[in-house]
Amino acid sequence: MTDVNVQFFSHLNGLNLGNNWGDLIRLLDICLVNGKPLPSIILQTVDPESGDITLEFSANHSCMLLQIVELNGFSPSSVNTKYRVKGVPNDTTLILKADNKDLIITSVGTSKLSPLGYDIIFRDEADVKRVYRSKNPTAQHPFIRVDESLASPDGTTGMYASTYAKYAMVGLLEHMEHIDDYENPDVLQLPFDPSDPAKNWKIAGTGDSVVRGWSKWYWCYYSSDSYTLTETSNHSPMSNPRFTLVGTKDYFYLLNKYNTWTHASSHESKTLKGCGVVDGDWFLMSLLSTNRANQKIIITSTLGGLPFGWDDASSQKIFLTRDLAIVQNHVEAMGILPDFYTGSSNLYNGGNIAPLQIPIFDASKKLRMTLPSICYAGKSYSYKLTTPIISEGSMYVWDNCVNRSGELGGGFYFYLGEVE
Amino acid sequence: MKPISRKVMPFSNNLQPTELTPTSVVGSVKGSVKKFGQNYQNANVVLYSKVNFQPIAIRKPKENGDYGFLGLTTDMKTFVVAFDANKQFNAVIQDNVVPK
Repeated sequence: MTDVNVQFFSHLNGLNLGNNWGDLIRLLDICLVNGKPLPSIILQTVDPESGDITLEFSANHSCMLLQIVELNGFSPSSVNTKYRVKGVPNDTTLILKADNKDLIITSVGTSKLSPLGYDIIFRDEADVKRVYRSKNPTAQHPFIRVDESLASPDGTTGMYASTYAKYAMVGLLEHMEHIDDYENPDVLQLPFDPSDPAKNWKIAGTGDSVVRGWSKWYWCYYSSDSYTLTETSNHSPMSNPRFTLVGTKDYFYLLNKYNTWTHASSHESKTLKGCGVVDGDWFLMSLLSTNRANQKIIITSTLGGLPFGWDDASSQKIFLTRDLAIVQNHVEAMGILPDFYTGSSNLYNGGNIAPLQIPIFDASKKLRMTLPSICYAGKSYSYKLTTPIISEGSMYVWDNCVNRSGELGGGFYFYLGEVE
Repeated sequence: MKPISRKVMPFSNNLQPTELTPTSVVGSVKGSVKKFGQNYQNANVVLYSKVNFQPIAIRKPKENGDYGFLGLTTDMKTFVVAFDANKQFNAVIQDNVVPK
């Protein structure tokens, strides 16, 4: 059976994460909740030898090899499920890996790039905030709040200019009754400061000394290099945003190019963000800072700025709760890695690829979890963007990232499962 | 608590890697080895490239004689040679095998 659990999306699907407020929320709506509808199907055939389903579309599908496509509204109803793309012969044709050689499709429905499997629990009228949660959640599944607000609730004491760097305030909460339900000191959050439960969601001050939030997922700003940013400086934002989003209904990662800086070798300056639940434990990857907008942030030395990519004591960190059962401040955590040159040091380049899991330990030296899907890359895949990889029966997707090698660039493999 | 793992995730030991292009169609070569019509597992099955005549991968069949080479593409031109591990019979070849 082909694994159809871990999905990925890319800018190569025609999805945009650019210089527009709302782009991150809209992207998460597509990738986590709704999926990306594909054009209408004009022809469908079933291979009598393999059972593979070939779909021809009325327009460019923009899908990639190894993505998961979901069929709906077909007859017989057994067709309405998820499939891996095993072939993209051209822009308007997809071959889906299936196994019913005797299938006869009697009525054609619709198709989409399958979402990871979340619901929107809350959304606001201004359409700048979301709370997502895994479909059919357990008690351990967090409420994921993504806030792109530019002003404090009173509309005056906190104002962040729309021309400044674009980022969302992102955090996890164990329970919410409404979209702004983040001030309850008895409700666990990640990140969390028990003395100030609203710390991650406040916008305070105006002009260039405004402080907006704490846990930040940047997606667009100007920078003259790949390692620094100043929020007030977004005068030449990038127009060619590149990203990979990978995950399941339990966790996801976002690897995105967030600034305009491009090295001569097309070094991609992507950094890692993510969140989710692993064996009942939460994790969050995010840059944590209560900087003023006019303060320069050096990503390579700011807390959470470059998970697994830099041997700085702060920037390599990710964040975990200490204990889901007790409301207290979060704990910093690190990956156990051979080095900080994933995808560039080629430590294990004797094989075809070299994917190694990343275990996590926290600041109290407790081994906590092994991150799902994401792998340290012991062999480089050069400067390639979102790239599906088949390695015998195993499926991966590669994307590049900033790492300690600086200009050479690096990357991660994300394991997608087995092809059969 | 169970061990926190740092597994090496699965990857191919193929002698020639499969390079995917945007229009590649993923495929596999599967078959079975038989001796006098009976399932036979004591063989070494080698998949060769017809482009450079170099081996792509070597497999041993399962107990029931079935073998499979996964992670190929349908545009590859290959041939398969099965060698008897018991050295009783000469090798057999299946030419012009196309992954599906």
